[in-house]
Amino acid sequence: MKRVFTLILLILFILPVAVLLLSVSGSEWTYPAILPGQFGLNTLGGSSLMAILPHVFSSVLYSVVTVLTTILISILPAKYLAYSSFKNKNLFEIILLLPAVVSPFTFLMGVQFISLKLGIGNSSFSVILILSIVSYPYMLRAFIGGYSQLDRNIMVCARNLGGSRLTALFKVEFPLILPSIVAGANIVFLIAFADYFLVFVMGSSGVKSLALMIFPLLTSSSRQITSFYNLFFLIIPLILFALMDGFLLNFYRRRKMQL
Amino acid sequence: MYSTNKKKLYYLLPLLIPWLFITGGILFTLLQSFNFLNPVAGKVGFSGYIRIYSNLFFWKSMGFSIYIALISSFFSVVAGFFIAVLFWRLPASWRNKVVFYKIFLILPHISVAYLVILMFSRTGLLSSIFTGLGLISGYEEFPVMIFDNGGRGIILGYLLKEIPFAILMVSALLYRIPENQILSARMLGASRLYTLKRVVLPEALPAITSTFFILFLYSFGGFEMPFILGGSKPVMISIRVYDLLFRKGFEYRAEAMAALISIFVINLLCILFFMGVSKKIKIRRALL
Repeated sequence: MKRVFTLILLILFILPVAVLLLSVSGSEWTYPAILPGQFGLNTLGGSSLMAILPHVFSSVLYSVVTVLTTILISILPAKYLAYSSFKNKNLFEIILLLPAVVSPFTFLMGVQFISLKLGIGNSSFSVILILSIVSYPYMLRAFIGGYSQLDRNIMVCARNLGGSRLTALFKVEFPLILPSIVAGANIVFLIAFADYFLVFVMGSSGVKSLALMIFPLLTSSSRQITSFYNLFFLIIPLILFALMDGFLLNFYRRRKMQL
Repeated sequence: MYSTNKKKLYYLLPLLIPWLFITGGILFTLLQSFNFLNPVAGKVGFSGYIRIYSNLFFWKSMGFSIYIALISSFFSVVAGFFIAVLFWRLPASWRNKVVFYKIFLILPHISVAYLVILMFSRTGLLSSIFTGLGLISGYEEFPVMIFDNGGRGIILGYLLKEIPFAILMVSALLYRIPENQILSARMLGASRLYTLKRVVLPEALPAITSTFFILFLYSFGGFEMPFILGGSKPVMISIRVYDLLFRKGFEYRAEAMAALISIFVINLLCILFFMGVSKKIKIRRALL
């Protein structure tokens, strides 16, 4: 019984992707045809691929830089929060996580105004800025989780055994905190890569983006090409997750550590 | 000897970067809501608030947003809880098969909205299948599922996107319940349903409430879903603000910003309410 339910659910979850693939693989799929009238990628052509690639590349680029930025802003605060206790610490942590839950619209126009005044408006910089603001809480959360599980004495031990600050950082602390970085990075990448509205307001015409490219096509009738472009939203993160997982496994195997 | 017992308050400094922008951003919204910093200088004052609060459509939009957010996050959380329990009780060999539910976590809102259009529009796949099966004779008979004024399309889109999120959040807690606890409950004569209610649900409750609030806040202020799948009226509050900001002139700035400040206040109230609720849950769990 459980398995039957699960199978039905899984089919429901996979079905839309199958529909997406089906609508990429054929054209003339209009009501009341249940399957595309013509299979083949002819109407799609290589030109549509070439048209979208720069946008995909730009989206990946600003998302990766957003991930790196959130790592840089979160790592030291997380370390502090994981290893210290003070009055109202819980409240303080909740406040730090607020940017992820409060509607970003409420401060978006102001951030746009400031970035225009700073001369970085309508550029990748301003896009990365707003995406980092709304997604750093996820990275911070992941880091706090990682550091709380990591016994601080291990780092102390490394220093006491004669390791320099840098050795302790790169040989002990970094390898142990890496799974948290990867977990946080996955979420932050997804948020940045998937976002439309913030990129639209902060980047407007100055930034190429997959989401900005797709948005006007969503309600158009050129289904095949829209579905094709939408596939990138699935493929790119999956490739990235696979790469990250592979990197993590490899990293630990080389150091003969266990995950 | 080296030790790390120093208080390193300066470690928190990097957080100043996002927070300077956030407080600056809110301050900007607040100032413009009183008509400061407005290129088309009107009179400084409460006129933005007065105009928006005396507008019936503003209240309709607010109500509609709250309605959509409540319905979609409630059903997401309920469905997510039951599906998570179902997945959690599966034999170990099935555990890695269920990862497919994460597809909708990966897909952005705009892609999920597009899939909803593909499947549920009146000339979409479902309608085609129904026609093919002879259940309906033409697309006119297929119920209006999207772009409708009742918000069905928006709710549908949100459910698809949010149920997997709820599954993920609840699962994390379920796998922490010791297997013995379930076994003892069953051995002591608790029925499956009773075990679910008295053992599993209390353990999952923190995840359920926090997920509900996150989803509520997100769908309340979300932009993409209602923009793509929504009807023409009533529109959600985020769409109304978008219209005021980007489709109308600067003379509507104060109104838009006043609406944004209202959204911000509602957000804060929700978070305060959530903190109260979660505190209560902890106390009740300690008593049980």
